Amino acid sequence: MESGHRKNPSNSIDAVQVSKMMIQVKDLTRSFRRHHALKGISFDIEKGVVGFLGPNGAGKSTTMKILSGCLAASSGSVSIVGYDVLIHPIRTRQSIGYMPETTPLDEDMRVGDYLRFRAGIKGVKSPRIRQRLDLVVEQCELQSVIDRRIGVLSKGFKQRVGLADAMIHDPPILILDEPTSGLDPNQIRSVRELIRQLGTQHTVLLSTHILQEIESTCDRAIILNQGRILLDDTIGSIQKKLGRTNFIRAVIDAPLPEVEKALLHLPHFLNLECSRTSDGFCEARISLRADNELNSVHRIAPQIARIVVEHHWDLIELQPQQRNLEDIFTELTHNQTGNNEAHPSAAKSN
Amino acid sequence: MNNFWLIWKKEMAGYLLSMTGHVIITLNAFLLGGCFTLLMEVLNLEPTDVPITEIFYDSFFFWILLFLGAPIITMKAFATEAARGTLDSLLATPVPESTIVLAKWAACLSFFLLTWLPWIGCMAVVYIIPVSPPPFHWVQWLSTAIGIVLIGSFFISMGCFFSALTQNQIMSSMATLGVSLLLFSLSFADRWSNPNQSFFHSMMAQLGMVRHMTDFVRGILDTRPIVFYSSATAVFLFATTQVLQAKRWKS
Repeated sequence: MESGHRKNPSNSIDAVQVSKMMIQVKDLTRSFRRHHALKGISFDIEKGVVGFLGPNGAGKSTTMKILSGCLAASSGSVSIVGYDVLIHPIRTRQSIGYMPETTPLDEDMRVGDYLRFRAGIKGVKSPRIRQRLDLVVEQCELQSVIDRRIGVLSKGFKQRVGLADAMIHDPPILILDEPTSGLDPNQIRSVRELIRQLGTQHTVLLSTHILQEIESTCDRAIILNQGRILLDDTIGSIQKKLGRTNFIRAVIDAPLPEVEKALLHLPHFLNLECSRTSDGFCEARISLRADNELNSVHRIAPQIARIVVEHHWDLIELQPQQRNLEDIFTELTHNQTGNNEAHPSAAKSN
Repeated sequence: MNNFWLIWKKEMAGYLLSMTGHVIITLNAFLLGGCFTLLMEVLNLEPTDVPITEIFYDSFFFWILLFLGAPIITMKAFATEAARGTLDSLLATPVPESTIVLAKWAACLSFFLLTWLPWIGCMAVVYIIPVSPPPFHWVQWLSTAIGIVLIGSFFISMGCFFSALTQNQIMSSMATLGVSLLLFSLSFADRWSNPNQSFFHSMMAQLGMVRHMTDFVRGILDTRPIVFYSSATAVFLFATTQVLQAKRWKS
């Protein structure tokens, strides 16, 4: 499933909208010999924080490298602030702050010297370098290591130096490939907060494996799998579109087959999954349709409790839960993998 | 231009503040000093009218320094950066590839010339000794220096090219050294070629590095080798720029 955000430049209204687009990607493909990393993806990004989500090998890093100008596309077009990356490489690179996944840094340099050097080659004028340096050092909490050699820093600090490097020239677009990997929980929280702040004034495109990060940081998510876009929408819309936003988790001290048999009599539930917990209890996950009032959590939960009492079982836990992005992501990527396994020719023809 | 100086300064700092840089400078100073001392002792025993610049160039040490300097200095220019991944982040900045190549080449050449500074000191010591006739004319010294700069810049550009082609420092230095020695061996090819094959014979004679350097140390500034080394340097720098651009398509 690809984005429906394409614009027709021939239409005058759309042309105005096109000019507002910070990133425009159209029919982007990239092949590495016989491996097709990207199979014709298209999306547009205006302001805000957009999360790039996908399993390993989905094409996230390849897309980010192409956007940042580190890698050329096999076909398709990429525009950054209205300029094609192939025709205006210098202009587009000026507009982008790119933090690669592995954060390559000059380990022999001191943090301050490195950031000053990077600011200089990214076109920050000398009088402004000091001001920008002070700001990014404060934002990335690098004050304590500013005079230390990068080679001796911990992975978390190196990650933050990479983030500071991406931000040093105050670009309108930030492309961050797994910005929180290697950070401790407190640092993760502060970087997420920083990304949220940056998102108010910049366009931020970030990739991550941490689904909660997308939910807590991003306005929109693009889910990629096997070089294709599976889903491209706002976080709220994704949950609404799927129509199954809630489920109930019940932990019961009873034999699993009997619980399964009894819960199957619940009216209009969507899906039932029963499994054993490590403590030997039976854990049941009952998916519900949120658009059907009859099946709301408030109606189903008492019915489960009633069944437990009728059968003289012990109810350990009864917890209504909201479906999160992880459930949606797992479902989408599994479906895609399943479809491709079932119909290998389908993947080739697309 | 600002980007050129920023990258040049960073590269120079990388050489001057690293152990490798110090080892290269020390080794060069030791070899140049040792060679010079030996020459002085020989000249004390057998005085000669041949200018000292020519005697020095005839020595084994001169060519060793000329051949080994470029591969060792240039092997880290691009290969190490590519292996560390820092080349990608440099290529993601709004700096044209040509500026990156020129700045790195200029830094390598500057460091290469820095390692030859003891030679200037040795020549200065000989020059200020009041002997008659003087051991060399300052023009011979200057033309020798021009020869070292031209051949050095050619070898450095070739080293940059091979360094950009690979992520392996050893491969880069071996390729640079191998091609340098191959070109040097062309100096003797005219001896083996048939003089009746006039075109091939004269081409080999014109490519001879020894012949070029002989002219330089004698104070002869022929425009042909100057154009040859300058254009060969430009060709390798252009090729290096193309290699960097091609990396975007390959990687």
